[in-house]
Amino acid sequence: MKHDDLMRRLADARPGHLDPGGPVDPEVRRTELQDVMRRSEEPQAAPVRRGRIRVGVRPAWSVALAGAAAATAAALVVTVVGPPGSGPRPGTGAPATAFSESRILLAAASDVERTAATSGAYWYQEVRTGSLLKVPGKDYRLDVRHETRTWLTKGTGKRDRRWTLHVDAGARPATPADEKAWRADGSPKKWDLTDYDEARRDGNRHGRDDTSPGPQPEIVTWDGKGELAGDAPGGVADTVSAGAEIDLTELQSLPTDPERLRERLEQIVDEQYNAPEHILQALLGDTAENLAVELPVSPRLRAAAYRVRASLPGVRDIGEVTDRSGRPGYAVEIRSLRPGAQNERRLIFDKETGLPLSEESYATSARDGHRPGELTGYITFTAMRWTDQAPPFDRDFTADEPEHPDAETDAAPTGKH
Amino acid sequence: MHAVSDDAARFTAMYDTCRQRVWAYAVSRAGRQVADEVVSETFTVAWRRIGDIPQPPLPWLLGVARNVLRDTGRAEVRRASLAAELREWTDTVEGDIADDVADRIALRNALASLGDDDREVLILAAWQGLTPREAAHVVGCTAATLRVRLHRARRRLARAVAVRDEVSPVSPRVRPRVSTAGEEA
Repeated sequence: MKHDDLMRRLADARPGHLDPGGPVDPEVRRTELQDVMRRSEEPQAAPVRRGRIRVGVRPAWSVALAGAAAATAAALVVTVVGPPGSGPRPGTGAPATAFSESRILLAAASDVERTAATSGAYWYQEVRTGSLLKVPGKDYRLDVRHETRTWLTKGTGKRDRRWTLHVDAGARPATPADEKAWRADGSPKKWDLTDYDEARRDGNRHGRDDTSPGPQPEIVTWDGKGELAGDAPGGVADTVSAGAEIDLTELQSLPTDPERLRERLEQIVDEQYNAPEHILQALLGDTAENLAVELPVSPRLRAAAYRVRASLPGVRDIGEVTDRSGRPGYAVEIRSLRPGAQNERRLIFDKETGLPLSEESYATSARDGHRPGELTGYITFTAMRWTDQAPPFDRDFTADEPEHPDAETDAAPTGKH
Repeated sequence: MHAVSDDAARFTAMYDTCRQRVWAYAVSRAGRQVADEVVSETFTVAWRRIGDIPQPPLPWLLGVARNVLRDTGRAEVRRASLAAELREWTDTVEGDIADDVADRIALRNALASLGDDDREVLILAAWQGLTPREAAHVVGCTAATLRVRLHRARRRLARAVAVRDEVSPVSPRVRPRVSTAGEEA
């Protein structure tokens, strides 16, 4: 995101008291340091070093992974025989360290292990993100779609090179029922999703008067705007490496044995994040999922990532489903390991190849106009492969509405003071 | 194994480099009322895990602060505290040149009007100066997700600035949109 005047202006607008380089009051510094270090003098709170993590639960993990390997054969049969979700539900109410025994995930692992490894100069991924949003004042919801195309390749040193293309893929009525309501509404092809009522309620709640200009309109259309922006290597954005902070070089060094992979991922998560134990476990799950569904990994490594995820709690088999692109697959439900999480997700895998097809989010409580159990959004992996075809752009571009509202003003004589 | 005094020296150096940044992050997310408590909790965790903290420590510390914020106090208190902070952004604007002041007001108004999630990633990028990768550490999502979030937030910010420029170029008024938005899974 170079040439980014808006972000520079935003940086300039930072209030003085939020200057991160500002001085600390000496008195505050003294008492704070003292309090913090004294609090830790209690014996259980002494500084802890790397390596203490999850030592207590490790035996359970080992058992879990051994079980994962043993269950593979049985899982294969399940794939052939019928929807695995029909079996008894394992893992429900089990202790946090229990092995989820997701037969779908394990079957997908052995399927995906048999897919052919591919190669090419760029890892290309096409992802469609859909958000299901209620149209204010109407009784139907839209599926608002955003597409991201990514090319990833090794750069010099440890730094990966990444191109990202953002595409506005337009909006559609979310479900057949929504489509019916939309037709009754006269089949409009353009919607204003701004909730003016909510904005007014918000305003009242916070005791604001009515002189403010109100919320900015959020307009979506049937066709969408097409390509919005391209982000090529050379700017800030491409200092970012692949997915879960694992770059392409490191990816290739990851072990394909599930147990060793889990140990390595625990190490990575522990190095990169801080959190209480249960959140670290959630992060481990996220990282395994990233490896499983998003990153350019060999079939064996992908299979190992599925098995690591299957060894973590919170996975439950759903069975046969059709994803938002109409592709048939097997779904597992992933309950968040984070307290207070307000959604639950499903991962959907291809019936034949075991490759990831989609991720779906469901509301677990009523919020944002969603009823509990309702689909709130999804990601479909529409393409994922190595290719030799170079990305179609080599510098940043924006085909957008006014990014720099004063750009013209700047150029005009009156704008210069 | 380091001696405890080495740890203390390291910790103090880290505190001196990062304390104000953590405080500024906490204030921008939840206002002054809760910021001090968050800072104290954050550095307590950091001291306990002094041997584990990666370099640079800032994204790690902000990640802790974020987790602490999530578990701190009642939502109502946080909302009120943040609403007061957002008002302060637009009521007190530093600067001598009128155009600069107007632009700062416009940007702060626009930022305050955005949803909590948008505001967070913009603050991490523009006010804390983090790269998307570092911001992803803080938020606890993947870098890829962070980039999409940042892109969208930026567009909504641009739109909000454009609207406000048309309607009310130097209005110091703002309607803070404070949500209790839950954490993303």
